[in-house]
This record gives sequence, structure tokens and C-alpha cells, in this order.
Amino acid sequence: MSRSSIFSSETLQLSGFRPYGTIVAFELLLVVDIFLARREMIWVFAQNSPIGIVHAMEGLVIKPTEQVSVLVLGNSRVRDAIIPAVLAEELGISRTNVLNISMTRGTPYDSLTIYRRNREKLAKTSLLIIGVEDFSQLRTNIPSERFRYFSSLAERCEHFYGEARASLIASYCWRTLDAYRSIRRLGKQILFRPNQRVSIGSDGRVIWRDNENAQYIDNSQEIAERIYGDRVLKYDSWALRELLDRCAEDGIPVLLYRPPLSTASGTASGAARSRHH
Amino acid sequence: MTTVMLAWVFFRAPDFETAYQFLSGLASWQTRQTSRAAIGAPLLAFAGGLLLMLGIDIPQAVTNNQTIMLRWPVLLRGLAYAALILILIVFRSEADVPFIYFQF
Repeated sequence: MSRSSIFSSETLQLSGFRPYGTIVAFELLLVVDIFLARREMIWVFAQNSPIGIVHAMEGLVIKPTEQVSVLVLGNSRVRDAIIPAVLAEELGISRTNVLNISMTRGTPYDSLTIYRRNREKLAKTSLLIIGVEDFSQLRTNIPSERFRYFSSLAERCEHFYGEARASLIASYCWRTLDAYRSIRRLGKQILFRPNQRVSIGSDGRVIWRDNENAQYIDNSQEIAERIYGDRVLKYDSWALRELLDRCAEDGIPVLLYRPPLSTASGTASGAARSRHH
Repeated sequence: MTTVMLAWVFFRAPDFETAYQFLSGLASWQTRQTSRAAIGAPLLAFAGGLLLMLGIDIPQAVTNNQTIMLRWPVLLRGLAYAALILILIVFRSEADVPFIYFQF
């Protein structure tokens, strides 16, 4: 009979416990964590990624803008619906003073993050328009890549539960767990050199389609339940509330704006809304 | 082994039509996707898996020792462990993939 590592314990007898290999592995993983996962570069080198787009907008749109009179935050529907030049003309102000930095898959948490990170400049705005959608308030127990990058430990503990919370706490200490998509993107970039840049229009709007996460678009409770199963939580607008609180502290008038829905998905969303509101 | 792997196609595919399309693609060595990354990524994954398997099998076969890896230099062992852990982390999926036998 042939010896087998599965059925014979004889072949698996180990002499003594010497975990030197494990120690070396731990050290190598620590090096990866410190010199790769904790570097901003790994998260932002691809402009057309969830973190890269925020970084690109901050560097290429917010930073060069001298004065913001009207600021628009929201998702791609809001980005497409509010044209800065038209709004500026209607309000009789310079078109450079209207900034629509809404982005694809932008959630209230993303708006809050952008506002927090650029508060010094954005707090001087005279009017903040926030795009709100039913589905933006729908929360699942799956943290987004932006949440993984921008969230504090307290937010990780407070807004997720069970496995997701444990994973977020672990990844707060071991950032490689958070940065896995970025590391994957870096590998793709090295091997295949795909185009990682986004288009920024002359009016500052950023055109980008999140093809990586297209399957995760949860535009109604019904659809979200089908995709996420029991990981769907409920309507929860904590990020929107927090953003509104910050605006109140800064004395900024806020206009909540919801672009009309006219597509089939809009109908599904409307049906879900009538059930849940 | 090839037969077993081909049979897995029927386990994984949602219906016979999809399984047939997949097998036809395998036979004709074609895919509907055309981008360099879309074609290259699965091939790389296949090559990586093959390399991992042979990296364990060949030293075992050559030395006729199932635990030959434990005699590798410490640095090489550490590198192998770290690489395996990183592969598990970087290529993990967030989508729910139920254990295949739960579907029956």
C-alpha cells in the first residue's frame, strides 16, 4: 500500500515545535502592511477606483477652486442632473463658483467624507445641495471600499454588526485586509496596464463608471434583498444626519434634492418606497 | 481527473445550456470577452494554481517525502506562507458563494 499524507499519521510526525517559518511570514506580512497597504499611493494610484476618484476630485477640482458659492454633493444621477453652468446662469453668479462634485455610487457617507476632509474650503459655501435617494439610505452589512479607507474605528464598530464588524475591526489593525482590492488593482496595472484615469469636464464634473462594482447597485429594497439576502439592514440615514449637523454648525443652508426617477428601476424603487416609508 | 473537473462544470453552471456553452468555449479555446485583462486574468489564475500545485507535488515526488517543505530554508518557508496568506486575502470575494453541496 502506498504511503499517503492523508491516511497515514506516520508521515506527518513532526519533531519539535519550531515556528521559524511562521515568524518570518509574520514579518513579511508586516512589511507588506506597513510599506504597501498603509501607503496612500496604493489606494489612489488608479483614478477610476472608488478612492482614486475622491483623491482626483480633491486634487484636481476642489483644490484649484478659489471660491465655492454653490456646492453639489450626491451620486451620478445628481451629477448628471445639475449642470453647473446652467445653475450659475439661473442664480446670476460666476460659473466657476458652482461646484458639482457628485460622483458615481456616491452615498451620503461619501458626501460626509468629502465635506469632512475639505471642510475648511467647503464650509465657506453659501448653499449646499445634497442629492438624496431612497436607495442611498438603504444600508447593507457590507462595507464599501470607501468606508474601509475613510472610516474611523468608532464608525466601524457603530454601523456594522457580526462578521462585518469583526472584519472591520481586524482590518483597522491589519490594513492589508482593507486594501485587498487596491493591491489587486496594482497587480492588474503591472500586468495589463489598463487605463486608470478618469475624465474631468471643464465644469469640474467627473465622469466615471464603476464597472468593478456594477453588480452591487442596490437601487431598491427589493433588488437589494435579492442581491444581499439577509445582509440587507434597513433605511438608515446616519451619514446624512451627520452631514446636516456639520452644515448647521457651519451655518450653511442645505437643499435636499432628489432627481426624478423615470426608468424601470425607478418604478421598482418607487414600489419599494411606498412599502417602507 | 480531467473527467472529474469537467463534471464540476455541471455542478457550477446554473443550467445545462450554460454548461454546454462553457464546455464549447473550452473545446474551441474561445471566450466572449475580448479585453486583454479579461482574457489574461483567468489564464494567470490557472497558471498560478498550477504553479502552486506543482510547487508542492514535485518536491514531494522527487524526494519521496511528504513533508519535504518542512526542510526548506526558513526564509523560503516564511516567504511561501506569507505568499499563500496574501493570495487568500487579495483574491477573496465579497460575494456570497454558498457551499456547492448546499444547493442540492
